[in-house]
Amino acid sequence: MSGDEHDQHILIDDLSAYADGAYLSASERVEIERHLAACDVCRDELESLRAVSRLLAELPEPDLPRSFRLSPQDLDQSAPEQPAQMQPWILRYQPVFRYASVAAALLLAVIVTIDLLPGEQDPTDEMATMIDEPAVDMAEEADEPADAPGVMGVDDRDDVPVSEPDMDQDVIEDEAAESAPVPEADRPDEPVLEPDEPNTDDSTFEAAEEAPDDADVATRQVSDPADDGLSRLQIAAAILAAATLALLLLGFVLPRWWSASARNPGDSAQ
Amino acid sequence: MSGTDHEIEQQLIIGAQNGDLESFNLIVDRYQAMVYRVCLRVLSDPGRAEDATQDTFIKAHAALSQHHGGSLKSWLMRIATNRCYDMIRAERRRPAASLEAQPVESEPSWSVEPATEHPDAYASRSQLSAYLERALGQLNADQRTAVVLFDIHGYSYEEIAGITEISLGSVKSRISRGRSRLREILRADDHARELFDSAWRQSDERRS
Repeated sequence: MSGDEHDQHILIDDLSAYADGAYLSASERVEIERHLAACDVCRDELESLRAVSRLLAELPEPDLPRSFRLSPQDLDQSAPEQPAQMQPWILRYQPVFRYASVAAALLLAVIVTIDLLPGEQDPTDEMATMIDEPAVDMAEEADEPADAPGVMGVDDRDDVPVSEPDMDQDVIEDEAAESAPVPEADRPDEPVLEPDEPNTDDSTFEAAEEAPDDADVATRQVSDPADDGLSRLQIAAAILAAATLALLLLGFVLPRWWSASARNPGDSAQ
Repeated sequence: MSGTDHEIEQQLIIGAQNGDLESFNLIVDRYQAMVYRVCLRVLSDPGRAEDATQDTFIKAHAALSQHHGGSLKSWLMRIATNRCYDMIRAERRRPAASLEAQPVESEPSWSVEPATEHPDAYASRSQLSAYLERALGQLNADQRTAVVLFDIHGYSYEEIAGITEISLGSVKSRISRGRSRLREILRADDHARELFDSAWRQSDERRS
């Protein structure tokens, strides 16, 4: 850049910055000016860049389509997680109930199979220790219900009672309590009828309230030595069958009924 | 004047941070035109620019407690350009509806201006503006954002570096590449080239 126009031309980045009158050191600026004085090509280059800048600055300013002031409604809409908190527990735990019902059904199948196997008396005692909370164990493993048969295989049975439940225990134990009376045959149908009542929460709690007396009986049955006609495995199978039924109700029937009844009042309110 | 103006703005920020929606809306009044125009130029789509502007102010309202000093204008513009970039990225993921696939309007609907000059001069200038708007839409998002912020809205290199979170050197090169690409696009079309060359030679002669 000795002023000879056949020397290197000025880099476009430097010309552009020079047009903006900044971001170059004083010595860089002096060199550019010396080159520009002798080089028509770079002068044209600079002028055309300046023209682009000026034309951009002269572009017509578009009008605002509307005001962007926020209304209180805008802020409500942007408030996070509102619908999730209003969701009732029956919908929130629906996936858990669904997996648990599958798991309980699989466990039931395993127990029935064991029961049908001839001459297998040893497992019964161990099974008796786990029948209190079979669904809970399975609920924990709900992510992989397909594993259940393998885990519950005859050889691995010992492992199962060891794993202690730590989640949803209350809920599932209620289920177990609720389902305990099932051996007396007629009860499983009752929850099916209850959805006719207007409020699910109430109906579910009523079911839970009815359960305790029967649950006590069931617990006694379970803790009693199995000297009577029923083997412990058969009791376990019956309890599991009831638990499966209850979980199916909670996982599939009640949520659908609930969302239907929740939507209708909303519609009529509009 | 700018001192008092700055003080008023600080009061509005404090009011809005304390939950006064009217204070926040006075901030909206001040900046909505600038935010909308930048979004419009960066996105080249009035509908999406409107969404981006609304999103910007909703997000600004939610995040205002995190604004500690500094330029409110640049802070808002950073939210707006980030929102625009997100929208451009989302658009790119749906190739069927990409910008390139849409037919380019001969004259963008927002480039209407009353004729205050000589009809011929106005006609050629408004044609040139339309070519330039279209050329802007063909730049990549980085160059377009830098050019729009500097040449159209008068932000400094430093402010642009802060808004788009890049170095000063990158700002310099994006502006320069953007301008020379715009010039190339204008010169690629015979009519646009004629209008453009006469525009800058005229001003060149006027100067000398």
